[in-house]
Amino acid sequence: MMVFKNWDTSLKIPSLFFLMMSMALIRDQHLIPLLPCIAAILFIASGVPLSLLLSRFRAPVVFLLFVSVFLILFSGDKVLVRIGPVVLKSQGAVFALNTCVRVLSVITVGLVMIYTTPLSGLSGQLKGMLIPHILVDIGIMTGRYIMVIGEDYGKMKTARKLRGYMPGESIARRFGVIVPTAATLLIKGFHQSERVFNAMRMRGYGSSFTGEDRSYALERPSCSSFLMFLATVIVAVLLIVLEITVETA
Amino acid sequence: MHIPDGMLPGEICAAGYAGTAALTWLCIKKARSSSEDPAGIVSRASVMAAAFFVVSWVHIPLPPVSVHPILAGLMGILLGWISFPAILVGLFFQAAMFGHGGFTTLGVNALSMGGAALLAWAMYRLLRGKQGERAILISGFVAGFAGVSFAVIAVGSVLILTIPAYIDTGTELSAILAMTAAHLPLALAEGVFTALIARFLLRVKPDMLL
Repeated sequence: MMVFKNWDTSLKIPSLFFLMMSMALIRDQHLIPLLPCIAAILFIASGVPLSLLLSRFRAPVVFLLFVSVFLILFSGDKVLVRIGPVVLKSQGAVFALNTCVRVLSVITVGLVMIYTTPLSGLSGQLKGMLIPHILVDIGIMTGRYIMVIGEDYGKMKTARKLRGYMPGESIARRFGVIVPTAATLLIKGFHQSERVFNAMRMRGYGSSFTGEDRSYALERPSCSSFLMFLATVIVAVLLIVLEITVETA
Repeated sequence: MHIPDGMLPGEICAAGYAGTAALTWLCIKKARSSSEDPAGIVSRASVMAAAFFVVSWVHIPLPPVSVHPILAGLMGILLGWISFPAILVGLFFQAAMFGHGGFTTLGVNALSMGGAALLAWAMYRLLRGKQGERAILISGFVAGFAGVSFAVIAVGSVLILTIPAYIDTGTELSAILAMTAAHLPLALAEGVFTALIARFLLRVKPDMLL
């Protein structure tokens, strides 16, 4: 766990992202078993709770189910099983299994990447990694205001219930309640953005975009961080080379 | 509606990132040329992106179930050029906080959702013309409907056309059409939702509408 926490963000994010991209490239069924092995090693080493990983699988499972059913029904010619009018294809079943394994493996690596990265100092690191300043600042402030506006929404819901405004049964009645709620949240957000805009101007925000700003220059990473970066990149490159080799063979 | 990690080939993900980078640069450039102030872009995009993120938790009734709105059309008509970077950041938070979408597919997801927002904004501007409530209801509905429809067609096309499986073209086209048809009730519900919110804003805070 500590190894991942101490891994320099400026090396961890690009290397794990490159690994995820190379894992997404793998299509050969002989190489697919490598993906859960890599994901499992990273997951165990990172100390991410299993419950968190399982909760992350909830959203893509519906998506995977839809894709798997489509592939099993329509992909390929070889018949696996015939159940009345429904024909299940063997090639489709293999594709579906490969897709599920690959998706769950890449999601695991993504979770390790985001869970072991401390938010403090992330903005400076991202700016140092050539991500546009404006985009990083939008990201930081969005994260902050999701909490603020989320709290507002909670209060509005409570106040609405206390005043007897319930969604009711008819669709018109439901729209009559949710539309003003959503629109009021947007208006509150708009007012908040005007206050934030004035505060930012008062503090001189924007001057760093015109001049040369070196305050986000990356610090020299530690030796262990560099070794982990190197190991991850080598694994990613090996995966790509193996995929190309198998494909051409 | 969001494509998860590992679903698309690496080259498509890279192309998605390249397209998203280019469109983000263009949108920020266009927004800066109109407001000339980075503080205005950052404050409006971030706070409104957060507001949209929270509004997407509101359930829209779609009997017998209820669904979360996508809000691509509404973001387009309220944020204009800034809607694309705001959606990009929103998608990143959805991937990081809830596991909806993914990091490798962020570029492709941003292109489909953000592209839908820009398209919806263009249609809204084309149709709005007069300032009356009737015009805002019609253009709002079209923007909401088009936002969902375009996003569904884009996601469905990318997904079905890039799955490296032995599927004939006819089946692929049928699958895209079936996916679009399945989302038609959602597009209608979002169209109504967007139109009613646009009318509410016209009555209460008209300067929010671009």
